[in-house]
Amino acid sequence: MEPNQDQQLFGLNIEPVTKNHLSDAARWAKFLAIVGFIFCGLIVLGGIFAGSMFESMSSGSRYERFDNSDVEVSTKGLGAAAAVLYILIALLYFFPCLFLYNFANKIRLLWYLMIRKA
Amino acid sequence: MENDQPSLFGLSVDQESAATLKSAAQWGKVLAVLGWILGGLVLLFGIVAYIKITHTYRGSGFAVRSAETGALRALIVCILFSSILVTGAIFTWNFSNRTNTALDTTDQYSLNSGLSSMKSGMIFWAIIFIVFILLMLLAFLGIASSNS
Repeated sequence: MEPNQDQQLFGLNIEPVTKNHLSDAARWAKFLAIVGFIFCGLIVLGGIFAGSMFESMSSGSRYERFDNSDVEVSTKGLGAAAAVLYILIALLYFFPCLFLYNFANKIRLLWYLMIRKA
Repeated sequence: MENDQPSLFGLSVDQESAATLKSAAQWGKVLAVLGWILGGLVLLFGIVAYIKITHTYRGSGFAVRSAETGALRALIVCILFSSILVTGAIFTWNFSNRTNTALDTTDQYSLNSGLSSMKSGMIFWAIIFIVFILLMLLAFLGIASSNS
């Protein structure tokens, strides 16, 4: 492949050292992305678990005050709120992981194509 | 610095990839500064919480020792989190600075050095994640063994 005018203009090349750094970064990025995806799944599961736990607590939670009168504490809706919050956090964490995964995959694809071309 | 190594398969940084790298470096700088601020805040929170807890329980004579131990543990956790955030931010800062220098001065050495910082940052976070997962597994095993 002949270097075009832009490439000559910048004069920065992908040397073997650069390639090694990028390859290593891509490998670790893939690891981080996969771990991140697993964590996202765990956060969603945690959200569902927390949601169902709060919902089950909401029925019949009566407490006695110091003056011996009963008070009913309702956590209705708290379960859904907790589940939504957890899912939002998981969604927020999912996108950086997706970008990392794409970065890693595209770098690997680039080396693969370059090796095939050579 | 002179470029004494051959270009790999004719790959170079063109105008588009230079713009992308520049943008990544700028956002990296923002992330690094935010990481330092967050690290500082976590440390400050730990110190303030430690001082408050120890002062609150000192005069009361009630459960002083356990409160102080708990506060000290919380402070240690805060220091750990803070140092993790600050170290991660240093790698991001180095990547941003060196990549910016490489693009401004077309210095190949700075580009390699910037990418090396990015790689080190990735390895650092991967190690932190591995340690975190291992600690979580140990905690789960501890809970499971205490229940059985």
